[in-house]
Amino acid sequence: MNALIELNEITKNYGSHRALDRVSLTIESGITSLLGPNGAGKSTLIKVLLGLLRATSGKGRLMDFQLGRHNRQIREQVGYMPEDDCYLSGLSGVESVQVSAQLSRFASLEALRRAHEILDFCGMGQERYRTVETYSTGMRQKLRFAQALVHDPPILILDEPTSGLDPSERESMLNRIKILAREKGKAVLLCTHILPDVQAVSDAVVILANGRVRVADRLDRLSVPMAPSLRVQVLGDAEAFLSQLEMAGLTVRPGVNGAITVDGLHEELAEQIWQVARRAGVGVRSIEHSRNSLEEIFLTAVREQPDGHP
Amino acid sequence: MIARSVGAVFWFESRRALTASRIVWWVVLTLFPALIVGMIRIATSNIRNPPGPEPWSVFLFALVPMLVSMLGTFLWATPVVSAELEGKSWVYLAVRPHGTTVVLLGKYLATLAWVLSSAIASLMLAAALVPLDDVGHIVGTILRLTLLSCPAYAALYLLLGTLFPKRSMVVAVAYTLIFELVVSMIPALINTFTVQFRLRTLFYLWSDLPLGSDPNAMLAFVGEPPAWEHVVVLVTFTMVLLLAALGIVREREFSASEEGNG
Repeated sequence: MNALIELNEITKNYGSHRALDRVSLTIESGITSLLGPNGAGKSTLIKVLLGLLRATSGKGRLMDFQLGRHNRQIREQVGYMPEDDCYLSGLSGVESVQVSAQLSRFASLEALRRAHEILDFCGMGQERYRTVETYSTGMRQKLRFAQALVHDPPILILDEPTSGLDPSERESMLNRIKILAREKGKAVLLCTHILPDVQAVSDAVVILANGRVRVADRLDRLSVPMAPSLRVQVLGDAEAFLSQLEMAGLTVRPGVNGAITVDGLHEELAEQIWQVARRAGVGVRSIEHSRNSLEEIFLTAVREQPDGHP
Repeated sequence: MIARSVGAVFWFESRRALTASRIVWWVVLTLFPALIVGMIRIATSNIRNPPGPEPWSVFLFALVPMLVSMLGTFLWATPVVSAELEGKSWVYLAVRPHGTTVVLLGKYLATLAWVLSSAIASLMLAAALVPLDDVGHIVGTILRLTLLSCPAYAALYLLLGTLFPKRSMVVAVAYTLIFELVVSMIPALINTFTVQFRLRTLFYLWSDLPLGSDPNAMLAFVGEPPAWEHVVVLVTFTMVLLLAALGIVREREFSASEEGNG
């Protein structure tokens, strides 16, 4: 895969506060999620990428363009959907998107055609002719999404695209993001707090905490645990079952959502678990290879000290 | 491409000008000089020596290229950055190619269109009420001064708006009171750096006003001929202010103060 965004030791200070601390990253095509607790430096990183903020030190490039030097070219390649409401008051939805296209090089008529096309893709109907001030949260999200997309940029930076959406709208938004990445070949940097969204669409994850990169890898690689194990879910007294497993000589530990993790991956292990379950009088709901959950990955990463120790 | 984007900004700014509050401001600014001229005319209608061309010229100069131009550009140009920052639309505009440059240029042109239309309409209305046979010369002079004052004040307030986005209106009022109204009247080198001084000089040179009983005292407040030099200075002043505003808006990190929770 090609590295579309490459950052090398990027540091950003606001006075004495260090918002980004020697951030080095490579972001490839596909969907990359940018995660981190509040104040982690996500917004700062996005603004540095967009040229809205200058890095205090370090270098980076977006496609073939140097950060801080080729801001205009970078902005032509990037569609940015901000988290906050940002619309031009007094304009209708379609006019807002049209202006976005005009500000990105298109003539008025072509900009209008694109605005309609992209609003169709975003599932916005006749409400596009209403002034933006009358829009609901979901409609404003769609509008911001359309504004980011209208000039057909190869890279999309989406800041909290699903926040405030109801479940069906959220699913639609995630589907659109997947279509753009998988079918239209766009690189998407998804900045969100909603971990199930990340799990649903992301190819890779970057976790920032205290301005530093804690995790940056493909999601499928991150999901593989350090040691092989099985994840067991039972119907019945899970604690008693856990004790029985220990008495049977197995190495076990409680997992998330009532699951039990049993270390090891030899052929007889599943059979042993079934036998213990029969003896304990519990029903086995599922036995599967353990995967690190995103929640575990996230919590481990943000709890880690800057020197790498938990 | 820049022209197209500037046109887009000009278009949406013009659309914003069609809100009720802005239309009311336009009407108030347009009618105010005519109202004052009408009141002066009524007040002087029964006196033995009604005002001649000179006082009427001074009234129109004070009302149109000074008051209407200054107030109109103050209202429109000063909050160009702060309004977008407060409305959180700055990021939306700034992340577009040439973003901040076209935003400033488009808004500058929209300011000129809005204020010039108001100033010219107000001049025509007020001039129609001036009780002189030949008011054409006065109108010509004031019109030329208006065409110079609007771009200059718009550029000045635009620069103040980019330098001090958080307190732009307060700073602009303070600047106007201190520099344009007080410092411009100080007969020293410093007053030559004000828009007011240049406009006043051009008004004096173009309208052939008599210097009164103490010409030296009057000359201390205006510059020397030729007039074209003052026009060149004013146009250069306008360009420098505009370029400085564009430079600042390109280099400044406006979004830093807005850092959210990420």
